[in-house]
Amino acid sequence: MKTLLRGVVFAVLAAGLWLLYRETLGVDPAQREQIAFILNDLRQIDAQWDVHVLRSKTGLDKNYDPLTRPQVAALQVLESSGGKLAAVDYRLSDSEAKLKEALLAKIDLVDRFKAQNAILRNSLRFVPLAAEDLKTKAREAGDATPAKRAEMAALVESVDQVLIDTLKLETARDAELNGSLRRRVTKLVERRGDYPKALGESFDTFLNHVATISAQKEREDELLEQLGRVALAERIEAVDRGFMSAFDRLLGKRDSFRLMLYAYAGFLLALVAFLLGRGSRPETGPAA
Amino acid sequence: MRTVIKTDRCEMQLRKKAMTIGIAVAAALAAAHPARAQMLDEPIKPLPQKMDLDARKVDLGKKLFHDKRLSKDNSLSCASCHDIAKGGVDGQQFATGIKGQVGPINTPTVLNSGLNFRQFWNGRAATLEEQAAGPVHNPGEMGSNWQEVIGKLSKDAAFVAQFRAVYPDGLQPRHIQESIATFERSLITPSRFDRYLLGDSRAIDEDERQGYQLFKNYGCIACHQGMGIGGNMYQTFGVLGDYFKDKGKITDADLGRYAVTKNEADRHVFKVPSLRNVELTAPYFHDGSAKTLDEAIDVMFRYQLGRTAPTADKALIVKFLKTLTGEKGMQ
Repeated sequence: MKTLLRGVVFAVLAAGLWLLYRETLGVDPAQREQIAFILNDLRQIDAQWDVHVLRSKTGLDKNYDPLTRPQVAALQVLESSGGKLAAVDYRLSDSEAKLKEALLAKIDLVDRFKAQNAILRNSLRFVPLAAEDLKTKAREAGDATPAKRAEMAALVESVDQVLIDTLKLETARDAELNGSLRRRVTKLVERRGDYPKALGESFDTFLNHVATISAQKEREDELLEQLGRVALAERIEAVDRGFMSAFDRLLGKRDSFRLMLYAYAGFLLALVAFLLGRGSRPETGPAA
Repeated sequence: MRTVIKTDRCEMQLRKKAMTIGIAVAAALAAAHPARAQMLDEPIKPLPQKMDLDARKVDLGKKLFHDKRLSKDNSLSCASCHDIAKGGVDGQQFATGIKGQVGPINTPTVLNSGLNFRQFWNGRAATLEEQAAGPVHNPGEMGSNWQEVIGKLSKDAAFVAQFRAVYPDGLQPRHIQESIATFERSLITPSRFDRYLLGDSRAIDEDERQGYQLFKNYGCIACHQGMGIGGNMYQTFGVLGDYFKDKGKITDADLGRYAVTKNEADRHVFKVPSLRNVELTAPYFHDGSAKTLDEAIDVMFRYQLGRTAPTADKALIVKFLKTLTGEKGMQ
């Protein structure tokens, strides 16, 4: 009975030691560096994205690889961070989910921006050629009669005006200008006469591109506004703040447990010393 | 003082001589090795000279890619549709699955697929690993599942031994996917045009160079750019003309990215395909409707560029496109 009791007391004391020891292992200091590294990567990716959106908008980037690379990298970074934050503190899973949401929103908007930008730049590049072709064909058609000449001169003048407004749109973010361009185009379409086939085709091609530029310019403004509203940088900072404070809390907790472990170990050592002392004391039997 | 001035003069004369000799040597080297000229700054970028991949995984992936046990009835492997010797495609309008089932969409090439920013025509897979699982599980393609595949493969002791040498924890779906994807990433096909981009001006002839200029001038380059010459963006099919109205009878495959996002703006939006090896990958487009490159170019001019071009210009563009075919033998 006495041996059993001793065994139980020993087991309880050992379990206490093990529990305290386990609590001091709860935090791996390398985790802080890993997460800081991941968040820094995301910050850089986000900054690169913004730079390359502007460079693509202005035509400085010759292809969309620089804009696409951050998309792929961001997904990989997010994948590698999966669960690491929640492992530190379950409350961080919410900020991690919000960060992922912002990242996916930005990826989607950048995808849309690339598609829109390619169309806009193509049509902007072609529209002066299309206008020139239309004017040449209009002048040729105007050779028939004086009435036709006047009609075609008016057409040429309108085409010039539409072209100027269209090209102005490239640099301006002006909804009013876009609206006035659309009104001019509508008038041009209403005045469309019974044109010879070649002139009619040239007219349709020109207006098709003008309409495309007008629509895509509007789309570009919307997309850039939406991109500006994606709070990716803020979400990264929120995760960073949340993680660092959770990590500091864990470190504090670990330090408390470490102190407790030292005290407990000291107590156990004292106990062992006491027991050993008792065991080695010479037995003092009754005097003979 | 005089000695100092004399030494300075000598030094200057020596420098002049050294510069003259240096310039002469540089000029001689440039003339002798035109290929060493500077890399061109173009919207299309050359393929990497070397891929940093695990050779054991590539080898294992190659075996799996050609393994018919990945299909339910052991009749098809990935290579059945993505024949590497034929440009990574099957040459058919639509893919054929097990029991002769005809699929809804044209097989995209597996060559250079590692450069694509997403996989499948509608971009529904973010990585090649994710893509690798698609056809295996599709009842209309290979009609199997990982459990069944692993069951069959695990009976092959030699294969299991090779697999364990690469992945010590044995046959797992994620390892199968990773090895196939690694093999696919190794399938890059440097072409004559890459040599041209790297500075070898003699790698393409004058017609092909003109064709490239026209490719840029007409605006094809707006979408087909970058290292993959496409594959890095989505685009609406029918930007300046209604392709699907003219085509009639719209199928689910025609919905494009809309099938993934259910966003109306994504209707008829597809991943822009890479033009590398385009000479070998007919028929073209997701619906395999263009049988030749000339037909495909006509459709692109009409619906994507909204303009026309003389036949001679289109012929030159075709010549340029043929310079994008990989030079090494594909096996």
